[in-house]
Amino acid sequence: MCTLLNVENLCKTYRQNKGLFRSNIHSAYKNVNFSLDKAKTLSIIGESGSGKGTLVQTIAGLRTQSSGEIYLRGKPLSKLSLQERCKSVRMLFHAPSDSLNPKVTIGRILSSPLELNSNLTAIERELQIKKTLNLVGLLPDYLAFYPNMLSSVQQHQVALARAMILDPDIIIADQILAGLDISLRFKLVNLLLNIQEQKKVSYIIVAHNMNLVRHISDHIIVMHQGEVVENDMTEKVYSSPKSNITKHLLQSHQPDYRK
Amino acid sequence: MLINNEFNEQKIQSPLQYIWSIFRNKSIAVMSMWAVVTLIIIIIFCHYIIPYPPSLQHPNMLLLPPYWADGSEQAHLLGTDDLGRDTFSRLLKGVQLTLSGALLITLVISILGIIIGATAALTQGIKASVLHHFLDALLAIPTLLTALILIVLLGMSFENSLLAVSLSLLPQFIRGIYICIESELNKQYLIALRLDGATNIRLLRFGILPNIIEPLVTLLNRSFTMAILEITTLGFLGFGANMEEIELGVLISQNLDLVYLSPYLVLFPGLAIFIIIIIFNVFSEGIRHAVIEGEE
Amino acid sequence: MALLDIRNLSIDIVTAQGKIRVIDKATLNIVEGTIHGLVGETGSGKSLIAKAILGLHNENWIVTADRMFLDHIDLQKLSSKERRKIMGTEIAIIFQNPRSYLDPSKKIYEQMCEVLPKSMTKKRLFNTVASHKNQKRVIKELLHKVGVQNDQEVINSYASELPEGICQKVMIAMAIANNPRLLIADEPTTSMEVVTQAQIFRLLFKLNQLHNTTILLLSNNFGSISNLSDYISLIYCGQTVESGSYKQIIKSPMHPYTQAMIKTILEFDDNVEHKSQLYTLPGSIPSVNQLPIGCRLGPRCPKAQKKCVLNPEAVNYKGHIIRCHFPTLGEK
Repeated sequence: MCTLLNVENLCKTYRQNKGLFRSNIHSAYKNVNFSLDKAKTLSIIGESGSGKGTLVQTIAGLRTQSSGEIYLRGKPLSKLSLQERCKSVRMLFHAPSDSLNPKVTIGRILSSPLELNSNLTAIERELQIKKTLNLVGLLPDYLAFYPNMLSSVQQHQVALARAMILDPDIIIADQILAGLDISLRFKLVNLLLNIQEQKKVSYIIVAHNMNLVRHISDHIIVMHQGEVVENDMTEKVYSSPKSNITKHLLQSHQPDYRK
Repeated sequence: MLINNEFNEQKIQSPLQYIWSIFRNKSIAVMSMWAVVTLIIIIIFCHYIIPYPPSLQHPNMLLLPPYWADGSEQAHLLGTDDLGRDTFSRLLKGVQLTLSGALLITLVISILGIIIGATAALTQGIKASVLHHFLDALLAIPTLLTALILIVLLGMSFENSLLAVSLSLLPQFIRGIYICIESELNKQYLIALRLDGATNIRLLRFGILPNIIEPLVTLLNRSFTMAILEITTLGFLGFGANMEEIELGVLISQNLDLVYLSPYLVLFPGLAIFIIIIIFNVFSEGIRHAVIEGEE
Repeated sequence: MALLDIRNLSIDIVTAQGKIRVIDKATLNIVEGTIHGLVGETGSGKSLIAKAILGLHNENWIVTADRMFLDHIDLQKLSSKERRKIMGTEIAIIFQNPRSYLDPSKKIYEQMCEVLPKSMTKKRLFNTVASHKNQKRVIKELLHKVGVQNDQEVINSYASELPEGICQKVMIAMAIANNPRLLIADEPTTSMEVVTQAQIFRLLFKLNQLHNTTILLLSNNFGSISNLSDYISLIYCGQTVESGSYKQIIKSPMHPYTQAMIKTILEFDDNVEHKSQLYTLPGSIPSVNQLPIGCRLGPRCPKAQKKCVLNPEAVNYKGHIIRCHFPTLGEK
């Protein structure tokens, strides 16, 4: 089986100007290698400033890499057109209240990716929207609503519907679980797992909550200051962490105070 | 935005309807809106409202005071000037010319400004940076000075004064629009829309414009106020409308030497400018507050 | 003994749609020298309670309580001016998003000077150098207390230059400058990373242990604060559903909501199947203007019966207070 996504030696460097003539090169991440199979989940964990955000933004197509290449089903991603790219890789932003336009109805929000990236007629589009809404567990009544009338989980569902509407292969979720209550977090995780089972999508999840990540992911990458310090299957990372940073991350989650 | 009406049915309002429903509840704003409508009606039907042709002279009734003062005539509500022309008619004519000029300028610069500002914000590279530095240079010159220079270059007439004023106000407006769009572009929903592959025009139409109503209203109001002030200033200084055309600034400067004989002749056009500006400011402030409340 | 004693605190907010009862008869009893965890999901009204304790409410709030005592002071009878005095010395608060509560255009040193006790900052005509030195020493001591090591660097920087965790530590240092008797921590670690989060919690725990500061800890994550607090109160949509000591809550939860919350502290060892569905209550939290009558958990409660449309009264089982018609009893 051909791997779905293959990232080889991906590097990103910034030039920081210091004074008038001097500048030093600062790298956001370097030498990232991983591959992702269909219907699997990869998690990228790291503290803020570890370059994980920039990395997924590169994969999503928001930024360009300095060197290295991303291959999607064997084809380099930089050769693909924007349309092909967004049909296969979609991104979820961490706060749906920011990523949904407050002045546009849910129906419009969902139909615009279809209008821009497919040749469906208006009726087919509506059908597709209803199907996707059903997938994420929303009623079609919500199409006429505006995003700020919905609760935060419903907004997440809408954002997920927007990502799923083009039937992508990969969904990138940039810290979507961070700002939510624990019960809502569970709900969203359930939804993600459901969709993965039904549609066989792959996820790339950026997170810093270790225990939920363990539950949903097959493969974990731990990053620290732009470098990959751990890159292995989930169970191996948890049972025998190689680097100190991973150990530290594992320990600091829910430490026991009363001993 | 979800409201319950009397029958307890849920009705969904679009943002614009919601803003309107907030606006409707502000009595001062609604009053100012009706005042604006009245002003616009005056502009359109000025010809039928005025009691006398503005240049008709009444040789036996010179320098009459307004109707409430001693020695006034009922036929001339606000009195007459030194040639016996009806002040009320001339005032309305003046309001018509000045106000329509200012509205025209606001319309033109809002269209041009949005187009240029959006291009500057949405394109990158040399085009945008040239535009920036050029605009920055223009911003350094006071608008009235720019207008005066342009008038000298173009020749004196009312049309040219309008052109000069709009050209002098344009850089500020573009700059304002540019800053709004720039800050809007960093919002996540626009990044998401870009990732969907939206074209710039689509981005502007659905993503940006509905979300910059509030700063847009402020900008439009400011340009409108500036336009009125500059048109009248140019008229007053004699660079704009000539003596035959009746414009509020011209009216003031014409009657300035009669200020001791009949102060009303200067007072009324000045008051007219003041009231117009107040009305439009209250109106736009009302809209702005409604928009802000609507976004919360 | 109780440091803060609140009984039947209700808050109504007057809106265009009429009065909304956002907090419904909340009862809070904070014992001196303990950490009291107040757990509730977003929008359940935790922050409103904190604000009501501090007297930070707007005009369109109607706050009523049967009893609201800080030690022997009746908070309800105080004027807002007296209340503010108490806020500085007896009660201190730290917020979420510490960076937005620090002045971005002032150095940390200047901001910390402002909160020092009055006697410290009194302008002296002579000896200003000495008092300056004294101030700096006190500030550094405070920073050491909260575990900031590179104190010199921190006091000379602006809030935007410091990481979030340090900012929160500075906030805590500022809060404890006057040795308050009660420290209210309003979700001090939301949107922080796990490592920083653990640091802040450890710091709060240490403050409680070493300096005997009473802490009211508000959080939306039951798991992260449960083993930190001595007493826990759970709140759902403005109703306190259960409160009791740590042991009572964890060992014998009586309210269905508490039981659901306890299930969220998953130990992801072997008992949870990989990628299986996680347990949640059905439905979602109702919005403020569509609250159900009676017990607000009603529509989502697995045990709900007809009786649940009536508001349950609080029942006290040996300090374990619960508001439910059908509590789980007798599993002790």
